Amino acid sequence: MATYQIKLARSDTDAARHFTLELDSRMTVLDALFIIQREHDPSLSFRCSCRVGMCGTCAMRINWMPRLACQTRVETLNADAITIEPLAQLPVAKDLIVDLGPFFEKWKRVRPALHPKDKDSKQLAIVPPDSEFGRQAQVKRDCITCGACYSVCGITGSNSEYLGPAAINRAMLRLLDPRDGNVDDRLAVLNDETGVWRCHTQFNCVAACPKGINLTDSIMKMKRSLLFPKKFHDKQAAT
Amino acid sequence: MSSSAGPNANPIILAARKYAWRYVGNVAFWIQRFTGLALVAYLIVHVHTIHDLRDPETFDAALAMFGKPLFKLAEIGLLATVILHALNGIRLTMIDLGVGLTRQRQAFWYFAIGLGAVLFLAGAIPMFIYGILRHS
Amino acid sequence: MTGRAINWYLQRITGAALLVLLVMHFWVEHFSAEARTPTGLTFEIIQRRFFNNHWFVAVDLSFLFIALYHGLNGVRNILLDYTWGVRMKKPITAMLLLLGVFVAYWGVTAFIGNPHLQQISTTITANR
Repeated sequence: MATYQIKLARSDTDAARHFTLELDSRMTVLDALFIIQREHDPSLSFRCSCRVGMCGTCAMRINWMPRLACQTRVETLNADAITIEPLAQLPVAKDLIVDLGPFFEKWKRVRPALHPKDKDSKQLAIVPPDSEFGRQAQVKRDCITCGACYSVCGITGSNSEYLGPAAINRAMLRLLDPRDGNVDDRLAVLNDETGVWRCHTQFNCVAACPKGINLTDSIMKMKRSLLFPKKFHDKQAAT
Repeated sequence: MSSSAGPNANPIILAARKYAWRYVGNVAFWIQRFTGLALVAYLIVHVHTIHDLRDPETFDAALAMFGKPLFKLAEIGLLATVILHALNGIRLTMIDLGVGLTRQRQAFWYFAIGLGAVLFLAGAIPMFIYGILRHS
Repeated sequence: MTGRAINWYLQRITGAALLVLLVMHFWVEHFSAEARTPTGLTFEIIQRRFFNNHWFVAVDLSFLFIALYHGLNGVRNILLDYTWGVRMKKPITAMLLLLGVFVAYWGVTAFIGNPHLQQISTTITANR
């Protein structure tokens, strides 16, 4: 057990911000938030769901870096003072809860769902693990839409129209998917002035992603592909 | 690196230290941006000086002025700006080609900053000796 | 290929070209025998170069054009990173193009159609 000074961002100016807690070193930041809510201030608002790092609901800034509260053990912070704030660059709903609306608006713009070429196909798609889609999907389909990448990206901060890393990563996976048929719409969104061309390889998204997805790699792949976009149309013709 | 930090370490210093490695791409981005803008500004001023070739006396007067130690010092600063922008530019081009994306942090610290410092000293020391020390 | 993809690609190509040209430029202006005199570069040295070797001007002018493209396209990219920048894309592009043409005109007229460069140089070649 160790003593931790916890400082919270609160939307109500009168609400308590500083708490001193006795925490086991294996406890997570989310555990600390629950202790505060149950024992100190029931009005504290935060969001969580699965508590095992797979739903992407509890992303927040912990000691100035976006992390999943449920996956961040207090001892790994190497500090006895913990500052917890809501994600940056997104409107704050209350306390630690942000409105992910802008993030999902961009997400919707790339048509994230599968648009099958043949809706009534009875055939299962065969994706060899060493095909490009197989290799990319293996490491990049784990996105849990927590919004961490969007909140640290330097360009989403200055250009509110920029797609953001998560949406581009999703578009890339759909474009590579052999079952998918909606190539033109997605390429048009990516090739827009607010699409992939705004990325300047800051790698903030890669540093922030709790699932370790190399989002910059996806964006750079799309940039190179847009030099020869026929590749995706050939995919349509081939299968 | 973090093993030396006890639980009582200043969290801001810890975060800054972690940031300097983990989020170094952001640092590189701002360096690239500001050096780029500085070089565009310099380019325009430089071409303006070259335009004085139409008036030899003004041109030689301008060159004599740029030979003064203060301007030589600024020229050493220009060298640093160019080296940073060029080496980080090589790093960015490699990233664009899909080479070394997982090694971009090393590429920044060892290639852009490390090799950059060596190149800078190799250029700056002669410039300092011949441009400033010999001048006075 | 679309305009934006080509623009992105050209920024890299010109960057690589600038790297080569810059090393040449630095060498010629700072380390070559003519430049390492106590007075440094003077008008006379430049005009001697201009008439002895046209490559100097060719390289310098291509350096100017490539650097202007790379630099002003970079500025355009920075401005487009802002929400208002994308909305004002056309005026921004037009302004930067105008600035580029203006600076290029400065640079070109320093060599091409420069009366001083012509006049004095003939006397120098005659003296030799």
